[in-house]
Amino acid sequence: MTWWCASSELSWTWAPRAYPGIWIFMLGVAIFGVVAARRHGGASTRQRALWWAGLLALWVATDWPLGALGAGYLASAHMLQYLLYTFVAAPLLVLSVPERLARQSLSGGLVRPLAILSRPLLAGVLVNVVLVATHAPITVDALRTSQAGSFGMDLLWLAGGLILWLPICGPLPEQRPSYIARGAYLFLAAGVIPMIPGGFLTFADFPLYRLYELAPRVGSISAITDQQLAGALMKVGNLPLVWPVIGAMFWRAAQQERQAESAAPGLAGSPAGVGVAAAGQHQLAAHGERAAEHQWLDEHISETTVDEIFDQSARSDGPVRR
Amino acid sequence: MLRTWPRSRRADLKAPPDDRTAKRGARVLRRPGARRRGRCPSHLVIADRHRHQGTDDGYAGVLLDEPLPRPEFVLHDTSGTPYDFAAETAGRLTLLFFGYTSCPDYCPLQLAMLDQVLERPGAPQVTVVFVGIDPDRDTPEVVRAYLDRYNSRFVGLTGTAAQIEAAQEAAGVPPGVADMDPPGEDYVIGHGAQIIAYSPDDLAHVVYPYGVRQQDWVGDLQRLASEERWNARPSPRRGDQS
Repeated sequence: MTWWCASSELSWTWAPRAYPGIWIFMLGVAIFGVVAARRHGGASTRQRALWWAGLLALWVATDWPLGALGAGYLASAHMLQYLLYTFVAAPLLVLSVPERLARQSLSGGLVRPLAILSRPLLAGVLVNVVLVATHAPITVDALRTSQAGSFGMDLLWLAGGLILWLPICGPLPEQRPSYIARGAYLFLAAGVIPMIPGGFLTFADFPLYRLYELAPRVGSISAITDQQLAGALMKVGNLPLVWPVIGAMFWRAAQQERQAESAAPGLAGSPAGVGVAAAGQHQLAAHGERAAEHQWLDEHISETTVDEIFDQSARSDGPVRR
Repeated sequence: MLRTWPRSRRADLKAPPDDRTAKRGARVLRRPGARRRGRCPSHLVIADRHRHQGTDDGYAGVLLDEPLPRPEFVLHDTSGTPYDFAAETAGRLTLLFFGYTSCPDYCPLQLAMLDQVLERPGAPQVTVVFVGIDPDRDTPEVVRAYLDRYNSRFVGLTGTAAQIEAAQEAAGVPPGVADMDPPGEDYVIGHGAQIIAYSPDDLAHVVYPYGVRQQDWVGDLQRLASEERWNARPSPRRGDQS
């Protein structure tokens, strides 16, 4: 019985094929999500919508026709599957997890592994190991020929995608790095490194995957054209998804900085506004956001002046209202 | 009309091809461990895409213990002119392939593969001859249009069912077997998917089952074209006019 998409000797037709294993898997994931949300609560309407959207993306990437095409006919479909898993389904699923649910379900010893996986360096390495391993010809030719292997590859993609997005939008805020770090991480892990294997696929003289080279043809696309398309997808296919997120990260970092500056408007002026800056210092300290001010002070005011400002503010009766 | 495969013997399609279609030379086309798959009787193929390994001699194709002579048969090319295969291709590196234009899987793949290999810079001069084994559907026009989708230099041959079967027998290829289940126009034909390579010495030393990759084809054709031991043109046959 065919329960999961794997390579097939049958010529490709657009007649739908049934893969019961995929349906059972999707149903299991859906039930798991519903039960977890009911038990722990805390899921907003937006998060519920994200969950179902993520599940839909997962299903589209796994089942016929894309799943069947990617498993046995076209390298480009294989790559499209990977993109859907990693850059659509995974972030939607990660974003759909409420903080409360994550804390309750991860209580105990599981928070620590999650924190470790959320470290950008480790996550970036793991994600790219999955990327290279699951696109190496030897792996694809071996795994895609069996349903169990194909199932394993799909699971690896999903796991890699979830790990990729944990540092960006993981459910536990304290485990996320700064916006700048997140933007840089995504740029390197998902924007730059995939260009290397993508280049190999695009510029190879011969088809690299035995599986797709000798598969029954779909339409008039040749094996080498299909591979070039797959390489192009690997190189730039994720950019429309990754670059907006990177942009958003840097925009938020800039916004955060602007908020810090606007909280102390005198700091943006000349040394004549030093008194106002000192007054605003208390409020900023209360919010724990003094880094920008300290940097400005270091650049514009001598050490003696800074000491005087702090002495002056210490003698005052409390925060100065502006 | 092609032979049809009786419903009562459908299960036999899962038997190794040599059990039912043993012909002269067929033993050398069989590869140990070849796997049977799917429902399409075009799986009379000799190898599959996951297991083809090549030979100890360095060829990706199957090296024959006893070379096969260039077969002698006369069919019609796509312009309707009689085509004496042995005479027209004598002394030239020639690839002979029996297939049909409605083939859903192996024929398009083999022809596309040959086109891509032969269109590469530095590829040797090779004559590709495709024999349509489905005379009911493969008229000369249909065969020409079909081959032009891949390469307009490929030679297409057709003939009556008896002529085609004789040609297959001469080449040591099992005859095609039509699967009429379900009955209708879209029947498929089980056929040998191997490509026979005839060297300039008018002998086939290597046969290429389905499953040989582009890179291997490029290497093998270069080697076949430069293989000195097989490039000696045979002396004229007795009775030939020089």
